[in-house]
Amino acid sequence: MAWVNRMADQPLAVYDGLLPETLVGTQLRGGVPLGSMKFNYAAFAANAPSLNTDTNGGSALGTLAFDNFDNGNGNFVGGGHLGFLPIPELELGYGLIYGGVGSAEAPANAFLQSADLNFVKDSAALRGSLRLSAQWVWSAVDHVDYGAAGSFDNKRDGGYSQISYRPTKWGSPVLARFEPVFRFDILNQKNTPAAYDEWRYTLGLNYWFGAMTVAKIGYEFDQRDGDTAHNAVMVQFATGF
Amino acid sequence: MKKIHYLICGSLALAGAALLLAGCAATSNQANGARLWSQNCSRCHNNRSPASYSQAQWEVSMMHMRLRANLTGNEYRAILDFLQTASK
Ligand code: HEC
Repeated sequence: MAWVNRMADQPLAVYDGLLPETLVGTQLRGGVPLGSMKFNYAAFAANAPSLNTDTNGGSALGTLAFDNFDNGNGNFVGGGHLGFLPIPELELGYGLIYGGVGSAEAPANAFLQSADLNFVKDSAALRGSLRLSAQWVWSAVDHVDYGAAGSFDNKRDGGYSQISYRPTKWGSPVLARFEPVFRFDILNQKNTPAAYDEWRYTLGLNYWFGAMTVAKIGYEFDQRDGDTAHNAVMVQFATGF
Repeated sequence: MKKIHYLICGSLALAGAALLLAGCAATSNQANGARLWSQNCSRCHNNRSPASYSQAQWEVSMMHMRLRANLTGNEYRAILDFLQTASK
């Protein structure tokens, strides 16, 4: 998957942050044309993620574990996503997941929502191809009594926006292989046992060997309110088949 | 294998509704297929040249990508037709 992602690491909040990257279940999806516009939809039922109630886990208390290959507590979640494409280059989407995530001793529902925007344009005027993507996620889990750890308002949110550009139409085959990327991402969870908010600025530069083979370097400026920040240098090589 | 989007996928993903909605088959033409290909298939990744796969390989790949790209039946047929004509 790393050959699809423009950045060496994944943004905060989405992809196994507040939302699952994968769930095991069954899904129905498709597209509906509306003149020159288009809608797409997906609806699914899946094994539920499980609520982390291990009070020894410290900061992970109240987070959702998404590696749900079995259906531990007999819970299922349902959800879907609706996308609207007013023009073929732009997709605006909204998604939700709802269902039980707790256990018999600590029953709880989770309600996850997300709004997303994707824009991809390849044109002579831009002298290349431009990609913009942004997504924001809201996660709300019911109040649960975590025993000694008490209870807290289990609401988190976060998201990212990213822009990347490939100068494919400047008449230079060498230049066309490069792709600068910039991303800003946020995760707000200071009111939970994680006890910090985080936001990052990441600069990246990719070099495309071919359509599906890429080398990436990046530098991440990390900032945290309530915890020590960790800046990072990232290097990644990825290929798809 | 890890998948891209947030709300996604399981072992039994169904394209059923897309199939139903695509009921009325239109005769796809090459230009249409090429346009739909460039509009839909570079949204998530760079386009791979049609000549890099055989007809049979495109059929398999398009089964996967039809789901990913939420294609209607008509779009699916037009793109597959375009790719197979230009395939290796
Ligand atoms: C929603 C994002 C998305 C869209 C739109 C999309 N792809 Fe993909 N594509 C992927 C991902 C993710 C993979 C990696 C393999 C996988 O997980 O299925 C992939 C893999 C591929 C591969 C590698 C071989 C394979 O089948 O796995 C080919 C070829 C391909 N896509 C062609 C296309 C074509 C043609 C279209 C237009 C109909 C398309 N893609 C639209 C996300 C997308």
